Amino acid sequence: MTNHYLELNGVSKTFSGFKLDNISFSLPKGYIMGLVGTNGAGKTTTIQLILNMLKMDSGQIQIFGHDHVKYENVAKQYIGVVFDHVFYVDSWTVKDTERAISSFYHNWRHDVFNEMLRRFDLPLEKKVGELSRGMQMKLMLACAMSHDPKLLILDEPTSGLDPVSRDELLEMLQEYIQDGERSVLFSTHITSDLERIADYITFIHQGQIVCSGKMDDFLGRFRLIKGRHKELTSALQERIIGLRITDMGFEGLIDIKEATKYKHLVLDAASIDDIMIHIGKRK
Amino acid sequence: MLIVIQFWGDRLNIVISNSSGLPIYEQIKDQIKDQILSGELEENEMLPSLRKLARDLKISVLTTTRAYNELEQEGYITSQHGKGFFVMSSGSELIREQLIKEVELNLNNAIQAAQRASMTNEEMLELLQLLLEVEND
Amino acid sequence: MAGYLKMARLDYYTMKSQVIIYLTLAAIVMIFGFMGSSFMIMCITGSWFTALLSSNIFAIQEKNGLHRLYGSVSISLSNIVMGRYIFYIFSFVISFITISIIYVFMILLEIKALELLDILLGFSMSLLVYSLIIGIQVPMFFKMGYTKAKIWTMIPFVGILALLIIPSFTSVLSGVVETILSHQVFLVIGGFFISCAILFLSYRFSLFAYRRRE
Repeated sequence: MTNHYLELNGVSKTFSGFKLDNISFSLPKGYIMGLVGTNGAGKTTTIQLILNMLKMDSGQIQIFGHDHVKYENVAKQYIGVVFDHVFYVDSWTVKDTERAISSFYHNWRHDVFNEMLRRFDLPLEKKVGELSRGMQMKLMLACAMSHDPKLLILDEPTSGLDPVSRDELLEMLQEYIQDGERSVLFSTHITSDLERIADYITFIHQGQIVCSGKMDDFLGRFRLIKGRHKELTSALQERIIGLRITDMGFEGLIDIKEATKYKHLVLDAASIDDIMIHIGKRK
Repeated sequence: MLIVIQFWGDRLNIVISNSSGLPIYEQIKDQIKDQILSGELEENEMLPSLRKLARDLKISVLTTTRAYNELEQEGYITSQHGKGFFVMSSGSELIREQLIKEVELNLNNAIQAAQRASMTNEEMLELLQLLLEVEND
Repeated sequence: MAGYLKMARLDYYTMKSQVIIYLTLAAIVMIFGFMGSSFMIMCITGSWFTALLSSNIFAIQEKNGLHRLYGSVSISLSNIVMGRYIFYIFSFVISFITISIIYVFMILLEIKALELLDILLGFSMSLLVYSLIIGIQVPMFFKMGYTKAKIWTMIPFVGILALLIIPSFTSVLSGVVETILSHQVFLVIGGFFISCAILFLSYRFSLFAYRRRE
């Protein structure tokens, strides 16, 4: 089997009013990749393209080393999917849900499903529509993980969840990749979720990739620069991304290569949020 | 009658601080180094796997990988393919080299401080001898 | 099990909670039956209502975002469309059997009588009506989704209802019914094949439409 579970190359899709343009990134096996961007940046579209729910205009997507369309049915046996809203019939009970979903998988593990129900405290007879948001996410996760998937794809799974449920999910994801043979693609706009546990990050902004790679490299590429008004030269102004000027001074994002010239100013480590906010201001 | 006693004291413990300013992988390196040099981690002792460590500390696998890789380059630990990471024997040349480098650094600092205090070389050597005698007692 | 059959089974699970509504349908048909209609009219009424109710599957699909479920499991686009048609046919068969059972009771109660030709005619004509209705509706649902398509899909219903109500049409209709009753065998076979053709064409349209859905 290949070393990269997910590979996107030059993927593009045009809608009226929005274009996903030249998206390329790859996710090696055994790691967690965060897909970040503001609402509407193109994260969900990217995931839909990966799952062939939408047809791309150009580019190539490989899942487990095979073309995502040709091997779609085989690949999906090994992919678990969680979306931000539950996608089961709301009149189904938890038990009905298992019965409906399990019929699609060769390797459904009833024991694993039951274990997850027990762990999440999901009652068999409760209807999907009556479950709380956090419980609905847990049900999706239970179904996603009960057929031995090698790749988990989660599209904004933590939006609307309380911190306890979010933490439980993150813990499950870390547990999931313990054997080094499984990967996770996790799209979110809640960046604190990713900051510590994501190995790789892909940042999409307005339909384009800003950067993609190891989390350390991503965070290490920028610094947050702050200073007083008089220190804001025009040369510096050109180099700053997403400049913010207040009565107290200025702040912005700067590439680390440029930052070396400005050691006399305050240079802080940039968090994912800082990077997203300032790049978001740019265009 | 069977009595089961569990020792927590001897295990590798690492505590990450979010406010220390140091990157997480540095903190891990420092703490492991300290525990090796102090003897808390013994030679040939097996370290937790990359993924287990990442999970316990709630950090990414690449972070633990970086910490372990750098520790391996610096000679503190060694990896045996398929088995895991182990503490290098404390008698290893590399560790000794590291310690000698540390001595060199500290001596250079002492020399600079001595120069600022306008001490002569003879005064410095005298002081050194005195301290060594005190240490050896 | 083939992908399209899995899809049809999923549709069945999706609609299971609507069983009550289907039973109501059966009750309505019974009322018609007691009003003295022929077996064929009862069947056509039944299939008319079944078509109406079965389109709820698209409503439930849209309301619950089931397209994401379909997208995450191992079934292809053609499986989804074919499976949906299988589900519709299955609904028709169930409704036909139900009406037949009701009619059998009426025979036993000596209210009605029945011949083989009547049964076949009932099947064939109600299948034709059913095919006409869903043949037009389903591609629209696949293309536009339930909410947007709902208005348009009412057209075949309104059309048929108009045929039944407007007096000038009623006279035409009685003419048609008389023709039917005098060329029964021909219509049984013809009706069946026309229905199959309509369903097949509708399926092709649906595939095309779903690929380019909104």
